[in-house]
Amino acid sequence: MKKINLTSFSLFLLLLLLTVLVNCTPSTLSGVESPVENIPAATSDASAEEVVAPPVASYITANSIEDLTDAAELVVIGQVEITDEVVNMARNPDDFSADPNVFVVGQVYQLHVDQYLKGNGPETIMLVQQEGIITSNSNMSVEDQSIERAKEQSEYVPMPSENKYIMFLEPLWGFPDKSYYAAPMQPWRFNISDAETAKPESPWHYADNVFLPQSSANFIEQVVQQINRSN
Amino acid sequence: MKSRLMKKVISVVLKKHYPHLHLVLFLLTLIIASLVVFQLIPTPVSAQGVNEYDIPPCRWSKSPGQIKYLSYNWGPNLAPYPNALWRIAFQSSVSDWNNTSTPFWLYETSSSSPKLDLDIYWQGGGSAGFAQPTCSGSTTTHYAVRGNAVYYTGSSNYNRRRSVTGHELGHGHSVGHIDSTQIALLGYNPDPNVYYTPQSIDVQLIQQVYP
Repeated sequence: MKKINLTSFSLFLLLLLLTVLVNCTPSTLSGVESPVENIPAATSDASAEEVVAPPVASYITANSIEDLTDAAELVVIGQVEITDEVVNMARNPDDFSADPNVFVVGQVYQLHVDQYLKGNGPETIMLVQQEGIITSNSNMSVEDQSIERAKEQSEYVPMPSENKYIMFLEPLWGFPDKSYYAAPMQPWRFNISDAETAKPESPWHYADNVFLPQSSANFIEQVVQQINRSN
Repeated sequence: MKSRLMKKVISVVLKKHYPHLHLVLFLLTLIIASLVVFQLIPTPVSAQGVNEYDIPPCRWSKSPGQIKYLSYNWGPNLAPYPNALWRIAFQSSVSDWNNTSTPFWLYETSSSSPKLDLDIYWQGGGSAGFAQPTCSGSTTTHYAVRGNAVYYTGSSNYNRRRSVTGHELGHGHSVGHIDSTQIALLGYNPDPNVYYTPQSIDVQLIQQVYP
């Protein structure tokens, strides 16, 4: 009798567990856990209103200090003094006028240069950083509001004036009348405010894996050595 | 009374013919319980597959097991120039992607409403290109795929150019970037002169999103 009770209990437990198992299929669970499966393939054409989503920008990337120093016309240590105007970095190659279909939000910064490690120049230079993209088919007129929205949707890294950076720069293409500088590739700047760590600041997620943490002094020394080798 | 008798009979029969039934049931319960626990414990994402970031807010509509056909056409900067270097690079990348085992097939159309429009633009500042989906709810309806023609110009940069067109066309499948140390067209690419075609992890990502 005792055994029968045990058997009945086991049977009950077995049925209960089987029910739980059937209800917890892998697809139900992994949809919660995996970021990829958070947005699975759509299974039917939706009839909702069409919305132009924010673009995903891709960058030319460096894999060594040598890549950075070779690509850069200027290597400087400095910091942001003034946040200036916004320009459209996308240009018409024939006359360098602004592209009518694509507005690449270029935020202009005035930089104070403490030291030139490569190249020469004045104490202040103008830098342009890409901080968003607006396309004409997104039905957004390029007003301040659209620029702010594009910035919010972009993965750019802000440049607060209190930070000191080592920056790898090239003249910005498409602005023959201006002395603008910009990134030749990612990561084009390293935050050296903290003496302990020279940290790459970049929308490129993999930058931290390529440029491993080291002291700012050590990083600057390596950059100088590389520049001297190239000369 | 009848019920008690029945139980007694069952007990005797079971005891005689299946003396270890309770043990078998116990073991079976243990197995099922461990299966349930295994299902309920979250598995790390990396163990499940490819990690993706910059995930687009919508995906192409595709039923599992089916091939999705995506038409493409040229934007205003490439349409008039069939022999443009960037157009050739895009065409090579179309073949590169079509030659993989992803459940997609890209084909050129003269329609004015293709699923993908491929074009170039010109911009300094280290940008390689961009890709932009149009969504209807969670369904992708269109992709604007752009290569930045300021960089990787000339015939000597054919492979690098193809790495950009391949990368941006990869996004055209409505996927983001790959977060991995493994070499990928849509992720870490240590040398675009060497790695300009879809790598195994690129294919894996698309197969994962679109079974």
